[in-house]
Amino acid sequence: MGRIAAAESTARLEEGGPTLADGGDARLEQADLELIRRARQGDPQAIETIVRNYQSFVYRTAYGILQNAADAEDATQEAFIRAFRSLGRLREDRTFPTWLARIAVRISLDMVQAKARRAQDPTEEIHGSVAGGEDAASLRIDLERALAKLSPEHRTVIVLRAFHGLEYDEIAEVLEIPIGTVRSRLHHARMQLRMYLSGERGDS
Amino acid sequence: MQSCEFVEPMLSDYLDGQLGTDDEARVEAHLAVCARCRNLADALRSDERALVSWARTLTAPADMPLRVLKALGLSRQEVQSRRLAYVYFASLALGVALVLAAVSLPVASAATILLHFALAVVRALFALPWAVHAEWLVVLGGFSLVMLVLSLTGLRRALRWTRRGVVWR
Ligand SMILES: [Zn+2]
Repeated sequence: MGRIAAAESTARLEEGGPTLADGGDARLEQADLELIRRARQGDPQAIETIVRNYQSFVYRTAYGILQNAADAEDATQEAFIRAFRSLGRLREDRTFPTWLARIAVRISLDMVQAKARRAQDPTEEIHGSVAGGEDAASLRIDLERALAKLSPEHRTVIVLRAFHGLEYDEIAEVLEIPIGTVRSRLHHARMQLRMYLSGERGDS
Repeated sequence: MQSCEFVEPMLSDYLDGQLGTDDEARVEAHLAVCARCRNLADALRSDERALVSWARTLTAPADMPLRVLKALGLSRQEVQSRRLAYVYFASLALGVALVLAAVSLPVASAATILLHFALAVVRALFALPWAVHAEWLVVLGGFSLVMLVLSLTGLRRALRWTRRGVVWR
């Protein structure tokens, strides 16, 4: 599967180098296209396999935007249901990952808006189990707090880029915005995140 | 030598390898001499790493495929239940047909039943009232009714049992 399905970020920063080591091929293989074709005909096994392959990607996207596990689960389920119900309207099967990502982002952003209308403070929504040791736990809480202070749009680009390692043109395609907007939005999102994190941790 | 104000907005692109060679060289030259921007670049890099490792701890619930299939009305249990219902009604129809055939041809051999099966079913519908004495007809009707109720109850229980199961595959 493509990078989106693998949901394993290929972020170059992990390797320490300044450029992205892009080993992944975003195009779908024949087997994936066959799965999509079978899913369109309502084959439960094909649908099950697709959900299994993409659930991490969709869930992490939703969690990054929504900042809480219960909402992220609902958004993930809703994204898949909407995708399979409207699979007949997907004209180019090879664009399935981008299309699914777009649905997931749209549902998550809609849920954020609906919550905002109910006037809830997003910083109070942070919970869920913490994996890893003491340091990892506090780092995670810092990250969640800082992310929660960003606008949903800024969170979205951070999630697509940092969580999933999508290229700028892929992000532009998912969000249906110009590549220049991706560039500047990502810059502002990162700088703001940095500012909040340095505030949280007390370093520069 | 570029100023910090010039370099800072390029850091995000620089870290993603999005700059042209000229700009990249300019940023690198600045980072070599400016500790402030170098620290910022390092911090942005470590933020990205932290985000990646945090994202890996986020996992969707294991039953997500089942939830989606259920919501789409395609879970294995539901498909099985539907199939069970088809089998039941097909068996019921076959059973009724066999009873009617047996009534219309009480002493026929199996071969005859097979040969005249289709015809017998039709004929039986008309022949039924005259084929047996009225008392036997009442007994047969009562017996069929009891069997029908029993099998319907059994089907309902079987359906409820298969729906309750949550194990897919
Ligand atoms: Zn500088």
